[in-house]
Amino acid sequence: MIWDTLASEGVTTVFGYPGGAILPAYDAMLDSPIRHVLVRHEQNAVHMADGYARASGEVGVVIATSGPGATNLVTGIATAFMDSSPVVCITGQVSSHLLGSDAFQEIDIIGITIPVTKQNFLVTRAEDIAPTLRRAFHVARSGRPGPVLVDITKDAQQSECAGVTCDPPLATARAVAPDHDVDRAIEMIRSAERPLILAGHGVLLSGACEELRTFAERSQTPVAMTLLGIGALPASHPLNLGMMGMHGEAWVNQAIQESDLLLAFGMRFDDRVTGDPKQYAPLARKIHAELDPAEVNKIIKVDVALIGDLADTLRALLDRLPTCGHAPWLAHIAALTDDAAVRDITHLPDDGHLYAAHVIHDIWRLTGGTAVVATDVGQHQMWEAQYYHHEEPRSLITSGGLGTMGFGFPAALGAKLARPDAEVWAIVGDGGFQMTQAELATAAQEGVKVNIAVIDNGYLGMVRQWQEFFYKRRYAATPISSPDFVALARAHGLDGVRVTARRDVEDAVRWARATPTTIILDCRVEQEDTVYPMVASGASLDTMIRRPVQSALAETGRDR
Amino acid sequence: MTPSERSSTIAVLADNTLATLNRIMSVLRARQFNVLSVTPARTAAADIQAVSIVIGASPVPDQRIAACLQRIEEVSAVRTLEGGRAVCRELMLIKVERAAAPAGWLDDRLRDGTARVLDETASAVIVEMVGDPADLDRIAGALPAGAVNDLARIGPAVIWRD
Repeated sequence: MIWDTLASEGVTTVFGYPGGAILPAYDAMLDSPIRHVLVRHEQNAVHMADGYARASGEVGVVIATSGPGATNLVTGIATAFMDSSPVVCITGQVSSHLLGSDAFQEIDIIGITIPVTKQNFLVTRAEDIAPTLRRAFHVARSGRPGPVLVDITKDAQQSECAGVTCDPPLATARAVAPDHDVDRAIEMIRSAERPLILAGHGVLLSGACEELRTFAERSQTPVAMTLLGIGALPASHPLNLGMMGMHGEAWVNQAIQESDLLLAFGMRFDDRVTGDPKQYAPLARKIHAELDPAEVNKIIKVDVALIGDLADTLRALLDRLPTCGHAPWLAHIAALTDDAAVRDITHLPDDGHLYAAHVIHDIWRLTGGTAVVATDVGQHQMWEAQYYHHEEPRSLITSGGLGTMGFGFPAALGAKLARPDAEVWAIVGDGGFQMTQAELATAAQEGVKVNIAVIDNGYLGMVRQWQEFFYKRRYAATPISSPDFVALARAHGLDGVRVTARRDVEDAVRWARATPTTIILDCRVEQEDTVYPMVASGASLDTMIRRPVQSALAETGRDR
Repeated sequence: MTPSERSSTIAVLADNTLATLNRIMSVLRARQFNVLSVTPARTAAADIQAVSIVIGASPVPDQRIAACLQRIEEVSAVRTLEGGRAVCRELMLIKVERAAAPAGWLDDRLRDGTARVLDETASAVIVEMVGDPADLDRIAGALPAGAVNDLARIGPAVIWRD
């Protein structure tokens, strides 16, 4: 029943780990064509399904047992929830007559996951399994996507009932912004002299990349990206300014502060984006095009809210949008970048040091900006966003909202299974990778090929950076040792190389790309490098901490 | 609860399950809204419950709270109580110390029909009052300190006029 329903929803791959309460479902799996990927920890199953969903736009599916199997899912589910990723998790539960008795491996996973799921269901009857799963898929992918959990008791899995009817998937209603709001927005756009688009994850989720590009080009409006919005417009596009926010490009943040009209498309004014909301874009009127009304006026009060599917909203705007020109504004923004040109690390002598920027810059250069890159969370995540210039949507897979260390590697495996023809890299830190490196065994067993670049600086780097800036360099619990990552790869029947000098990066990347199995590049980078620019938490975007020029190091890869 | 603390009421129609109520509470708690009371009530439809949520003075507009609740899959309708579009009533049980209550307070309530005596002892009287929540605020708030021995309010029940 479960597998037939999954197949009817178009599922071809699930990520999971068996156990007592889900045994009947696993037994039935042997008769299903659906591929099961055996993970080494249930959290990573959700990260894989999440990576699968983000890379493909399809729903990722997880299956796990009751009790600890279910509770291990929680961080993965929360990660997907914060980033609106469609994932369906199926958990086994003790038989219905045991519910509430504290039976072996019984836990109230419905209660536990209520705050981090879009919806969850307890199923106690076999005849409810198929309709509930179909409902779960509908909820996960409709509107603002998100994770859904279906908890199925063991007796429901074992019972007999009529077969699944393969009806087409449930239709999804799309909200549409009202005409009078669209007209108001157009009037504001017509009169703006310094407009700026803020493109978020919603652009990718709604499939609105083409509409965004057309809008930007016709209105000659520059585009700044949130972390999760990267890829919505090709990095090489002349109107793409780069990333905004805490570690965004300095000129992007400055442009936001000087703008007279912000067009926020599918983004939620996260605190990492706005800095101090009271000092955020004080000169700008604001238009917020967003599917979820709960996100409107949450952090930043806006002048016009366009509530509806973003692609539909942009098409409605485009129907009325005249051709505009903002040459003085674009020239001004270009001028804002001038002082950054001298700081490009990739143009300066390395003096024997290897910097994370070197590694990521070379991976970008050699892959042409078209690889799918999954990251963990921390310094390397920000450097990836700065130095890997993504040309395609759904090519950066990263935990933006929850900031989950350990996400990158399993998410990369999921992405590779979703898009087997894509080149997939996991750019991770030495701290985060150690949280989920057990999935090397999964990669080996399943024959999944990804390239892992460990940005290995011997520290929990971002925390160390905050300790450096805000705690007088008191490095409490941030120095971290690691195993021999190359030996670790080989212990799993995989391979790896250690990179310690800039001159070796290119050959290592070429070797990684040519090797058929998953590999690790253990990149021993400068230990106390710092991500610049930086807006301190809660500070105004105007008050960026810049890398001192005399250090002769780059701030970002766009500094050229 | 004083009148100044009570600012608005949000009425929710949702699936009649405990999990739904749990989900509503989870949203309210996680978002740190200034919730004064949450009252679930049965409706004419067995599978639908009406949940009334009283929000204290808050910088968060009711519309945003409503939008957050509207995200819940089992929630079918969320409305804010404004403009006389609904009838709203609440039950209050109040135990009043006779010695501390103003002279004639109980007689006045009995005379105008707002109160009904449920139980009496030599020192105190337990009174049932049903009315507009704001009126109940006023009545309870008018009693001097020491007069209210105990008080229980069930939260508002709401029926829409349109």
